[in-house]
Amino acid sequence: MTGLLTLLFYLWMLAGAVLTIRHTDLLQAVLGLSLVSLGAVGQFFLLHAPDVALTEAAIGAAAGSFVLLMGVRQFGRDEGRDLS
Amino acid sequence: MSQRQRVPLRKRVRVKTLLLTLLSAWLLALFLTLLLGQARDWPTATVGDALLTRNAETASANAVTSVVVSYRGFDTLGEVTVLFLAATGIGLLFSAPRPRSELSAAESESTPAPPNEMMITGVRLLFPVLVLFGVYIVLHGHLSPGGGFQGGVVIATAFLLRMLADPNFRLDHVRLGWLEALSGSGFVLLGLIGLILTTTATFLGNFLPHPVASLGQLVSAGVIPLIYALVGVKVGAEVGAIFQDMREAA
Repeated sequence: MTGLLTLLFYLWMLAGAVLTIRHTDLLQAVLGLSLVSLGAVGQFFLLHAPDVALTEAAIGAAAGSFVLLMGVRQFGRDEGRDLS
Repeated sequence: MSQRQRVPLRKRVRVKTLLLTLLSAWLLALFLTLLLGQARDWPTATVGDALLTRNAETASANAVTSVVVSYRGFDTLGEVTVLFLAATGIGLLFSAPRPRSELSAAESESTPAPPNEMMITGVRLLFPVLVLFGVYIVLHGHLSPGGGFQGGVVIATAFLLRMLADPNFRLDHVRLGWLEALSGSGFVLLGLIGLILTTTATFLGNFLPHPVASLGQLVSAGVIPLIYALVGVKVGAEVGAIFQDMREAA
C-alpha cells in the first residue's frame, strides 16, 4: 500500500514538473511547481516525517509560490516576452 | 538519406532527455530502497537514538520538538537569526530607489486588475480559520507535529491571502519590527535565565517544572512551549515583512 502510494505521488510530482516545463503561460507554470511541492508533502508524510511535511506545505506550496507569483505579476504571464 | 547521415549522432539521440530519464529512474530506485529499508530497522548507534532514549526527561510528547528547542536550541536561535538576516536583505533590496524611467513605464503599463468576488469572499471565509490553525500549530508544538516555524509561516500565509484579496490592506513595518525584536529578545532572555539559574546552568536550560507525569498535556514540558511560541511570533513577523516588501515592489 505504501509503495503504491509512493509511486502515485512520484508520478504526481513528475506530472507537475512536466506541466511546469511545458506551459508557456507562466501562471500555470507556477501552479505546476506548487503541485510538485504538494506531492513532496505526501512523500514526506509516507517517510514518517510529518514535521517536514508541514514545513513543505507551508513554505513550498504556499510561500514559495507567492514569491514566484509576484515575479509573474511584475513581468507578465507571457513566456516569450523580452525582459530587457 | 544523405541529409540524414550528416546529422551527428549526439543530435539524433536526445542525450539530455535520456540523462534526465535515467536520473529520474535512479532517484525513484534510491527512494524505494530507502523506504523499504526502513522496515528492516537495522541497529544504529547514532546521536538521534541517544537523544530519543533521553526524550522522556523533557516531558515533551513530540520528540522532534524536544530536539529542536531543547537539545539543539542554540541551532534554532541561529536559524531564526539567519531568517532575520534574509528578511533584512530582501527589505534592503526592494526598498532601493528605482530609476525614474522604469517607474513611470511600470505605472503606465500594468495596473493590477482588482481581485474578483470569489477571491474576496473565499479569503474572508478562510482568513480566521487559517489564523486559528496557525496558532494551534504553534501552541501544540510540543504535543503534535509542527511548531513555531510551521505555525508562523501559516499565519503569515493567512495575511498573504488578505494582501491578494484586498489591495488596500498592508502590514505595518514598524509594528512588525517591534514584534520581531520583542520575541527575539524574549528567546535570548529565556536562554540566559536558564544559564543563570543554578538548577540548570546551561543556555536554554529547562528551568520551569516539567514533571513527566504531565506528558501529553497542553501545560507541560516547562519552557519548551514558551520558546516555541516566541519563535512562532518571530518567524511570522519576518515572513510577513518579506511578503509586504515583495508586494510593494510588484
